[in-house]
Amino acid sequence: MELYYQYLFRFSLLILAVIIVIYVVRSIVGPALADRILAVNAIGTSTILAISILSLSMQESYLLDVCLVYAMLSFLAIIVLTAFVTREKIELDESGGAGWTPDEAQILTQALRQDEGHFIDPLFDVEEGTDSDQGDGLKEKEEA
Amino acid sequence: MEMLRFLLCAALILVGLVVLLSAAVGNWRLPGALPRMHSIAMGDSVGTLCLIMGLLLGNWDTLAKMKLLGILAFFWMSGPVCSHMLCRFQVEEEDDD
Repeated sequence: MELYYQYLFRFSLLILAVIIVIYVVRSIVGPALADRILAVNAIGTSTILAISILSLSMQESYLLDVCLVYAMLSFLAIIVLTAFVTREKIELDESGGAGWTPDEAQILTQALRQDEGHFIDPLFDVEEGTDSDQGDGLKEKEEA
Repeated sequence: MEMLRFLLCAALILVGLVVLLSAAVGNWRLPGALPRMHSIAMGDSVGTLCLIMGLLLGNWDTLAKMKLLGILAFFWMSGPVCSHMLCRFQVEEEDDD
């Protein structure tokens, strides 16, 4: 019976390897930036499942902790990569949420979009926002 | 009884693998970024559910089963958030072009 389980796990690991290869090709080919990010996320998912299968196969339950940490890291990577490019995040920055300074954000965005061949400025009115924020802050200080 | 458990475990794991593989093939075949996101999101939720349910039938102690359920719960909570953020990101990219 133990042998059957081992065969099953080996077969599953093989299929997961094939899936990972497909996603690697997609992450290289993918025309849009979102395609690449999504492919990397799916590679992370497949890796987590492979580690779970491996941990049952080896009867080592501490490998599941690695899975959990890996899942959290992959989730965090997606959120960080997408959040600071979209406009909502920039509006948050205008209202004083701690984040990148405009220069840092511009450098990072440029590095992210280098493969697209063009550069779109997402920081469309950050300068005005920071100015008005400073003005509000001064007013508040005066009132206090 | 032992054989039945193995068969159930194998069936669930194989169903999960089929769903994951079809998600990968769909990711390879579908046109456009948003349909690809759709296929990956399906594979992430259903494939992960079936595969982890199959693993839960294995020879584990209780703590390890709890950890597996935690991984599953984390997937189910983080998957939609990831999809949502990526979709908004992609839609804004298309708007800019």
